[in-house]
Amino acid sequence: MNDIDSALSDIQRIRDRLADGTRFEGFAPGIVALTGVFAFALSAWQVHGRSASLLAWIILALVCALMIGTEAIVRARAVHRAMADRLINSTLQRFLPVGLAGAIVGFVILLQFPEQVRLLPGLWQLLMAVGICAALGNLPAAMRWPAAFYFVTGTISLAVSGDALIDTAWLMGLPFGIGQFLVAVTLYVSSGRTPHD
Amino acid sequence: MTDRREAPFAFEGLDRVLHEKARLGILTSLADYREGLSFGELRDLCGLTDGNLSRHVQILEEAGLIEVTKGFEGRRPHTNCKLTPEGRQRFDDYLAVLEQVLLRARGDAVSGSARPKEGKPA
Repeated sequence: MNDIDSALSDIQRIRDRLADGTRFEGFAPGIVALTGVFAFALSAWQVHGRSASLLAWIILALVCALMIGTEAIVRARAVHRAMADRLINSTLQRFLPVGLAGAIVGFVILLQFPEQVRLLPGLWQLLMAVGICAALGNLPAAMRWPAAFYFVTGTISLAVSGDALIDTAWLMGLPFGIGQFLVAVTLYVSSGRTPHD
Repeated sequence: MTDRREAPFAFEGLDRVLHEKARLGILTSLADYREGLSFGELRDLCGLTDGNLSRHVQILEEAGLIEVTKGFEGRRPHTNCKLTPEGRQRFDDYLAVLEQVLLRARGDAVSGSARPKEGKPA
């Protein structure tokens, strides 16, 4: 390795360290809050219409992920300039495995064990909590509270999933509606602070 | 105003505040520590005298690149320095430009080595 290669590798290392300690500012509180509103709206619509299709929730989750993801890339490029790609990649690497696990669990249960479908809201809430915890290094420290919220609601949703009186739509809509609103408020309040404030 | 395309070696992105050996050392040291470093640790890592470090820390603080917190650890005064979010961003911007300079130099070096030496036949 010549001097230039060695210097380039040092620069890469320093830039990686800088990105590790930098808060990702790509998530827009408004868009996150909107996904909470969508969750409430879909559960209200399903309860009113006596429908409990989880496929609608999968489609909503994909739409929300697309909305949050697109906005995150646009915002990150504007805010983080040269660091944007590194931060987007590291955040994606933390969230993507959890999102993939959620999708796999959803499709397998829907296709192979439809009688167990009431377990899905709780499982997805737990995965959401794991996803937030995985990305905490680049998120405000206060994001541990929405993560804790999702852990609690995931546990409760799983515990009450056997109770047929509770509508599956509410098991999804209420926790995700409130949870996304909590995430949005945390992002808004913490904007401009360091990851560990 | 000079067009950037006309002056490819102007390196406008090499921020003058950062482009100084001691200050680069301070920022590189702080990049590794999210919670920052004490004045003594910085002095040892950068091999600077107290006076020199104070001067460079002040310049970096005035530029908004680092945050200096003065307090006490027990009864002893304790000064902590850490990178601000803006400091992280600007240091990364600086490093990105430096990376481009080096990549260009490496490209030139590669093409230069393939080129016959001046004054000698190929």
